[in-house]
Amino acid sequence: MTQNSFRFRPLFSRQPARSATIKSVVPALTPTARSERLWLCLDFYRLPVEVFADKAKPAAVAEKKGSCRRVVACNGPASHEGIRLGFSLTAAVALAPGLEVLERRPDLEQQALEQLAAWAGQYSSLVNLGFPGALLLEIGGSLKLFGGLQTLTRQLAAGLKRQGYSAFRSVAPTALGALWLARAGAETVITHPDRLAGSLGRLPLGCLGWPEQVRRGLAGLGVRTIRDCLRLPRDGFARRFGPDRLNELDRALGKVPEVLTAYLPPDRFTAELELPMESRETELLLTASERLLEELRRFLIVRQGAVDRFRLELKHRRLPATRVSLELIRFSRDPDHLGMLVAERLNRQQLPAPVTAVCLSTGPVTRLDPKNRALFLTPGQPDNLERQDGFRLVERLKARLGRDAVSGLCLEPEHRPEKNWTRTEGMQGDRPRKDFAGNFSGTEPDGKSGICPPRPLWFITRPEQLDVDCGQPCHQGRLALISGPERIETGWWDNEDVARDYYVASNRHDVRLWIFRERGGLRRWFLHGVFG
Amino acid sequence: MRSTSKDAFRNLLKDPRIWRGREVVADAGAVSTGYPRLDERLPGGGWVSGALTEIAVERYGVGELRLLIPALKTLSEGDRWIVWVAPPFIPYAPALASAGINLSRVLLVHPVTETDALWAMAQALRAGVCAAVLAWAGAVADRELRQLQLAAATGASLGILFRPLDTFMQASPAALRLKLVPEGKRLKIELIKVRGGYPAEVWLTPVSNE
Repeated sequence: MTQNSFRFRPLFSRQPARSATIKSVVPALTPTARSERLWLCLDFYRLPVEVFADKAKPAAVAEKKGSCRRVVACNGPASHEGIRLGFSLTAAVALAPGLEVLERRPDLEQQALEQLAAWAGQYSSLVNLGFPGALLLEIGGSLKLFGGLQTLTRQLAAGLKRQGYSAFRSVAPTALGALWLARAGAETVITHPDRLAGSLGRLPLGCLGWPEQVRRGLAGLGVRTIRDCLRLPRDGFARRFGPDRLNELDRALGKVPEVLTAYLPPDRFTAELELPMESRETELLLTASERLLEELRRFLIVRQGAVDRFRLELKHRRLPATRVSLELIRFSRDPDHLGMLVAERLNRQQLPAPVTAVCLSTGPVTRLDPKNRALFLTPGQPDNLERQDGFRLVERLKARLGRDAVSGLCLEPEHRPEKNWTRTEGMQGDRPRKDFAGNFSGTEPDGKSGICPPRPLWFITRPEQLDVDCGQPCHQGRLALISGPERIETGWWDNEDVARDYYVASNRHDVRLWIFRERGGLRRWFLHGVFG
Repeated sequence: MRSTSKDAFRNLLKDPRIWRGREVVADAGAVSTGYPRLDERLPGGGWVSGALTEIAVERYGVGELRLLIPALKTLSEGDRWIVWVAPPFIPYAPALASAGINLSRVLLVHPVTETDALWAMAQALRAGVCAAVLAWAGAVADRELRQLQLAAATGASLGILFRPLDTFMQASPAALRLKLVPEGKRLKIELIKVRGGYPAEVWLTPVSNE
């Protein structure tokens, strides 16, 4: 009895879920689960032609189908000439004699889709790449964050336009529904599940992407739209065209839950951009690297990560690639900052040959945990933002002047003047170091306690030998010894033994100098510092 | 009648072409030089932050650094940096530490060319993360000085440019220009140009580190 009533029940009826028989076959979704999910589909109908560099002239991508090559995608100028998808190549060329015919590159298309999926990850927590030439984004959970559907779609559209891709957008409560609507070329927005069946019903069967054989079979039955299809008896339809087709219809209508896997971007970033022509021009290289950095930023936003080093490879035709490595002090993902560092480096980079392509790669990405900032800035309290800017200044200086040109200062626990200080990386942080006397450098220099022998403010790294006149050291005239000697010696543990007597001397310009005399050997005089 | 003349006066004061001397003092903070006698000669009572100060010396080592030490000590207690661009010698860390300067705030920059030095100075001044930027340079074009002055104003940093005496004759947009002449143990400071103040001469004994 149940079987019978099921057999003659149309696939689609006004109130399918109320019937007990349908319930037993089709698991109904709870209303809450339904209303939560909302899918946005981006159908990149020009992807095969858009993976190639932007062309102002008519261009089309052809693929061999059966005996003749047919157009699978064409750009704007070509469709303006009247070329449509599915035209045979000869017909297309006859229409537009200047047509540029490109061979289809599935690898490039996949790469572009993956890039787009990574980019779309900033708008959705679930991006699916499972359908050819299309992206599916679950946006039900993102609407609140982005301020509503309109704002979100506007942002998406602007982002796509910037990257030079055109797509049909559709929104529907089911993923397949959204996909089919987008494939039909209709920019439809359906947010309520009840309206789904009506809108889907109007679609021709061509948007479903079913095999040719199935389509022809259905056409033979006089079935042209989804609505016609839904009027057919379920079990007969399943027997003739396969249970998978029936399942697809159910999924599109939201009667059967959909399982879609999320796209996960890789954990390191590599992207390459071929230049339109070989060039040594820094401007062109910079434009290319800016585009790559923008991609990197999107990638990092999706991964919620940041990088502290990356590498640019400037590829040449015959010679090995020129590699430019950049290291940051702090993790960053700001393309402006990174671009500025790249610009400083590229401006100084010697190129052995013209560059054909630029490749940007990073190591594994580190997760960047956002930090809380104080709402009100209290003066004197370090703000994260300001510290960040400090690191940026150091990075900028290092990028232009070289790594060694920027340094900080730090005390060392030593008694020899050359060794009781060192240079640091420039941002030694705030860890205090104990010096020889147990004082913490930087925090509480104990200058007043005890006997502090005089130390010059200016230090001469390589002691300058002084002439001697009548036994007296000379530097722009004879020097008058003011105080001293202060004896500094030994250093046997690192084979840099010293034995010196230090004096403060004054020359005839009243400049105070710090000089020493060797205690052994030639007993020469040296200048080691200026009091400033 | 009276009120209209008052209004006319107010309107006149609003005219952007009118320059009022006290504005300079009001908008920039100042750091005490540590020498009361010098402070009272300077508008704001110290080295002017957010402006360029030029110091001319006949030769390095006459006490120009000791003159700055008290101010640098004060500045290094904050969170901002003290950047040294192209110093003629290495600032000696133990001496700086014993003078009370927080070494973790000191950043040394050693550019190869003079152009790079001025670029680095402008960058550091503009970044707004430096309390003071000290730089040593030779001849500097007027345009570059103007850029440095602007950068210092943008970043509210104390910019100090040391220059040899023989290049000091040209006019300069710097807010403060002084010339140091050692006289025995004392130092004569000739205030050549003081924005918002008057040229003067001050004798003082710089802090000793001997």
